[in-house]
Amino acid sequence: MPQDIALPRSSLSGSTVLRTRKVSADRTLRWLLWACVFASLGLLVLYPLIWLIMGSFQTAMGEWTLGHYEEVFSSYYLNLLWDSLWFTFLATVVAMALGVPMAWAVARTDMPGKSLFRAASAVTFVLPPLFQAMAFVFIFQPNAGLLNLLFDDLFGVKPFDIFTFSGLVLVTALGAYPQSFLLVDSALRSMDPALEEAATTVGASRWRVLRSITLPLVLPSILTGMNLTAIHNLVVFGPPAVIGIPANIYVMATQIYVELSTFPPRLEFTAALSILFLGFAAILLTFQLFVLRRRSFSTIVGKGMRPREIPLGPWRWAAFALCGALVFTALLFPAAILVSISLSKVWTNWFQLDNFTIAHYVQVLFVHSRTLDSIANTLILALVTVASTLSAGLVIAYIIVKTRHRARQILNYLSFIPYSIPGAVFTVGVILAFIRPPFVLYGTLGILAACYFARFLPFAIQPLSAALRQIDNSLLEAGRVAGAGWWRTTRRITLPLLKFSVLSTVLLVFVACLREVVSAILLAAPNTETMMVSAFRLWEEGAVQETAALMVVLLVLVLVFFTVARSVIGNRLYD
Amino acid sequence: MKPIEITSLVKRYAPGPAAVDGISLLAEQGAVTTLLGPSGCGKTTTLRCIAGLETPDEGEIRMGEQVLFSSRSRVNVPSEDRNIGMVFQNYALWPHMSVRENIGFGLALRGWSRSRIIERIRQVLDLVRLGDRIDAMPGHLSGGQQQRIALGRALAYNPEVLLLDEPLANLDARLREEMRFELRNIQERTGVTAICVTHDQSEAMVLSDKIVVMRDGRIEQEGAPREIYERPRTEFTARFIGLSNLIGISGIEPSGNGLRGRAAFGEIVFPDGTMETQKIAKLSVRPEDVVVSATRPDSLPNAFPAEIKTLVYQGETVAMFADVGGQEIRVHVGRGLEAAEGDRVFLAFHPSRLVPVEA
Amino acid sequence: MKINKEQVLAGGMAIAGACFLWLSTPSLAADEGLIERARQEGKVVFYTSKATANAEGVAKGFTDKYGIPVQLFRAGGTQIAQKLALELRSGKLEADVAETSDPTMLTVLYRQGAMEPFAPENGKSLPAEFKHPKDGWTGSSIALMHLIVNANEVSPEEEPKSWADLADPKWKGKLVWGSPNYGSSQYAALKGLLELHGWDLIEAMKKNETMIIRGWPEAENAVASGERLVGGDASSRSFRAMSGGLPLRNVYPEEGSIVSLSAIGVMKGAPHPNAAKLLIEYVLSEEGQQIYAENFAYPVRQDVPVGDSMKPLTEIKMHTPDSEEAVDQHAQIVRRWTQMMER
Repeated sequence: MPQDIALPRSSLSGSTVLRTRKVSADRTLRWLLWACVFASLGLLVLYPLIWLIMGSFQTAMGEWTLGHYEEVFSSYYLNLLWDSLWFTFLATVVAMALGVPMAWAVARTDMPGKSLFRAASAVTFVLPPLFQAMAFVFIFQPNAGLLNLLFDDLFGVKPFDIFTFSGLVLVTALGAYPQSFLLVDSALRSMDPALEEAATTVGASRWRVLRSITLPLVLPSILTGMNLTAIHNLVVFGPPAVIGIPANIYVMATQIYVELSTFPPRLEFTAALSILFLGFAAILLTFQLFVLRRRSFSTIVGKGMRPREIPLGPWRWAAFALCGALVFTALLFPAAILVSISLSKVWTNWFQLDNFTIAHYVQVLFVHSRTLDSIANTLILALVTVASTLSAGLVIAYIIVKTRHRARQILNYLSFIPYSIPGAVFTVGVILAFIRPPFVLYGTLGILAACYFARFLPFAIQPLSAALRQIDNSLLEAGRVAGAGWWRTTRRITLPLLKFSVLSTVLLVFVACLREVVSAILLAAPNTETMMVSAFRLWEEGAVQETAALMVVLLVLVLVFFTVARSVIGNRLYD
Repeated sequence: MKPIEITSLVKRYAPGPAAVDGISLLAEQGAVTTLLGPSGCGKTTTLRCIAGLETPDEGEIRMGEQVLFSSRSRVNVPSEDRNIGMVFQNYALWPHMSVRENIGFGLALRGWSRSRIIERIRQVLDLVRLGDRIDAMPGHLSGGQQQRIALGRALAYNPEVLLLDEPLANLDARLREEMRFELRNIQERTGVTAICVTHDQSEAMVLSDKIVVMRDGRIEQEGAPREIYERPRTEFTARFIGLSNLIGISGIEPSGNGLRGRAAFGEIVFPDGTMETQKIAKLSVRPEDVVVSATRPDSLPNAFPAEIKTLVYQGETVAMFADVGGQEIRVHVGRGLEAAEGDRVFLAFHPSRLVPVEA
Repeated sequence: MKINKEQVLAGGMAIAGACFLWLSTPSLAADEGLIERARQEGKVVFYTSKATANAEGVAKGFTDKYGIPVQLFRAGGTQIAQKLALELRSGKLEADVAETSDPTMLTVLYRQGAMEPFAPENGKSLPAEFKHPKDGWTGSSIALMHLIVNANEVSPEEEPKSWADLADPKWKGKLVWGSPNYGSSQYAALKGLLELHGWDLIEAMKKNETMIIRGWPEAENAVASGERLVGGDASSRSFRAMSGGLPLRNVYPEEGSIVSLSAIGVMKGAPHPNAAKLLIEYVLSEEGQQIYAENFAYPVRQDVPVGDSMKPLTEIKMHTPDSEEAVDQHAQIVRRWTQMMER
């Protein structure tokens, strides 16, 4: 009875003509998107880099010179480079020493308070390092630091001095530990417990399993975490600016900032200096590529099985105390300090009831046009950046993953260049490129948007291409075969399937915009300050309470964002 | 329902041997044509070329009168305009759409009215016997159900041709067995032209009107399942389709109205086929075609003494591995056989069951 | 460089005298045509190194009076100059009016052709020392650079009496000073110190582990919190800080507090040139000067009284740095300082 399935088919022949037209529209649309992406990468990634290099060989008047390089290779700057690397190394080691054991304790033991530690670490991760740095100045400055005063009362000594190299390293590490913590925690959680159980069945002790099975399996995650932490520390601006500069300790980001914020600004020299730093950042990047290439076995994951928890016995409370101390020091204490300062009339009178005022919040949120504008600017920038990186990221991830386009490798490299370049360095290129015709963007929000786009695009491409890789080609081919053209397949199948990663990309880029300091501070014109720039400038002006109030506003924003993200994404947030 | 005709199709992925190396074949209207071969033989690539998911380098593909692809006249109809239905190996059900949406997708694209779409979805679900799962999400369906939905989705919009890429490979053994017949049944009811790709010869046997055996991008042999099974032309086909004992043979000469040659264990007579004598490399004989007897069977030629090495109980039959003058021969005998390992018996090959094959 | 003490004294006296002796002139009503043209331009962009309250006060007063909104950028004078330099390079000037707390930056910019000569009506009566010879800028207020001490920790007996006392080892680890890399009045202060004591004093301050900060407010916070005990400061800031309750006390060094003249000017190629001129007229008007005075700046106009909490200039010994020399030696001094103190 073949008849029961054979329905009238008249509608088919008629639509053939229509669809031929659709095909050409499809092709045009695709071509247009491809072209847009290539053009924007060329303009926003390649063009600033070309100017960074050209500028480093020019005087401010545009004459060619090697003079900048002569100065760059003087002992001061070579020392600075060495200091930067040494600082990066130490801060990374300390951050790893804090983050990795805590990750193990949270992921694999029966220590109490795990979700608290995860949440606190995630919030710390999202906060700009400027946050901790400012708070820690009040806690640990050598003479008037809160803890120093306390020790002075109790024991007659003031043991802490934050304005030292070790102070800088510790504060930076406290802000950087969540990177490795979150990575290793997620790797440990997703590891197939059968791998460890298998070792137990052949007679390995618990510690032997940890050493011979668990550790080697999460080693790639640890290395990746270390590398990301190192990159973070190499480019970090907040602690070196707030703690380093008063202590006369300069690192790459702050030196660039200083060179550019004095009069006359030495743009071209800074370009040459940036290129010196670039060479060393390239070493880290190469390491990163090396690690990522060898990562394949870290993807051996179980299917939602909960790993067995190792009972720590009474030690669980010791572990809890240690992790608690870390979370307290890195997040809760600094937050409490900033809140208390922001609510005080005279900030040197700690914790006195008659000292309470909300005037600074009123100033920051309702009166000062500067902070008001900066909040608006931050939100506008974040929205624009999210929209632009998301759309470009989708197209690029699609080309890289789902096509055999000849240029897709070039596209891949091009879009990841800014990721491998320290933010301050790339920003110097952006200034040099967009301070001159034909694309004069200097002094507008546009230059910040351009810089943010290039810098945060990898944040979008990474999760999107990972997600696209998860989508089997056959799902898209099934769409094509069923009669949907490229665009319809994309709209009806690809995009809906990417919904989750699109959402997390939005959150990721949004947070990156919120906490960005160094690019913003180098690019911001008076009317294009972001919240972080405003906070930093208020700090420079000595408006301590307003700075604290603005930082607390940021903290609230971050917490709101975090709660929203968690309710939308759930626990996968930590991955 | 139109036939598919492929002419001199070539597809290269990289410099080196072509994945599809100049094949020509005809998939007849309303019939099931199966491309059968080991992985890497080019069968899936051929199917994807028909679907328009790969662009061939040379050749021509036609669906009835319509040219789908021609390297000479530079025609390449995009996949979405070929009006083809395809069932993917992993079913490729869109996980974010319900069963209804999965099936209705192709219909909506063809501008069907809402009421017609609903009617058609019900019809299709009845056809694949899943009428009660219309609102289910694919993730909540079993493998067999997903398979049937995928089939329903591919058939919903009355495609000219149905392409099946290893349609049963992901099912467990029992379900696979059932679905073969079900698939065949549905194809017969719809009368759609079907092209199926599989590496499973028993699947091909049940499903196909015509089997095309492929090897290294070329067609090794094509024909009805019975023909392929009973008259393999090459050693490759004989080995790949079913089980076969291959007896090396030399010194072939005419003998009566047949041929005669030397095997390792003695002289053997066999019928003269269409093949040139010089090309004959081996004789193929199926395990179930070998006759076992305790004493020398006088009525049969080609009887040789043998020793039973191993007996393996297989359920419906018993596999016997016997040594015949140094060569191991596999024989499938009934369960009634009373014999033990180490027994000496005689094996006889009926000449009509001996198929000369090329190397 | 050797500075004749009498010369310094004379300079200080001259300005102090000028503050009192120039004739009281009524604020001229701004030219109606200028107001009209300014209104048509719609807004004015004002870069200033004045404290926020001053800046916002003047901006609000101006907007209330003329209905023209003011877009403010507040930063250290050096940073303002840096921002202007980059804007000039980009060819897209945002700023209309620039005000720094020392004229050096504006003179440098004038020499680069970036300042539009403008002689405001309300500045006519100001003495010549308060104006650029070619009208590149006009003085808008005065601040004194002096010392501050933590009022709780440092008694009047032990406090430093002179700039030279900064070299005293007893202040080791207890000093804080502002970098000329960020603020223009910090540069004025450094230039004054160099004129009085030369680089030897700076060297000694380095030995005393002086903490270097970017702006005077940071110094106030450091001293008020007890982080440091003695620091440099500008009068425009210290009076405000003390009125806000910070435990500080001003110390006027024996050699003379260093005079830092705020300077205001119109940018060449300003997007809103008329609004810019009107704003400068307003700043120099009695009303504008009043706002500055209420916010702890010494007015340049003699007809405007200083704020109640401020010590009259006549009671303070002053030292005025050589402004021409300050411009000529700017790059050199800042460079030497940076290498000595910030590296």
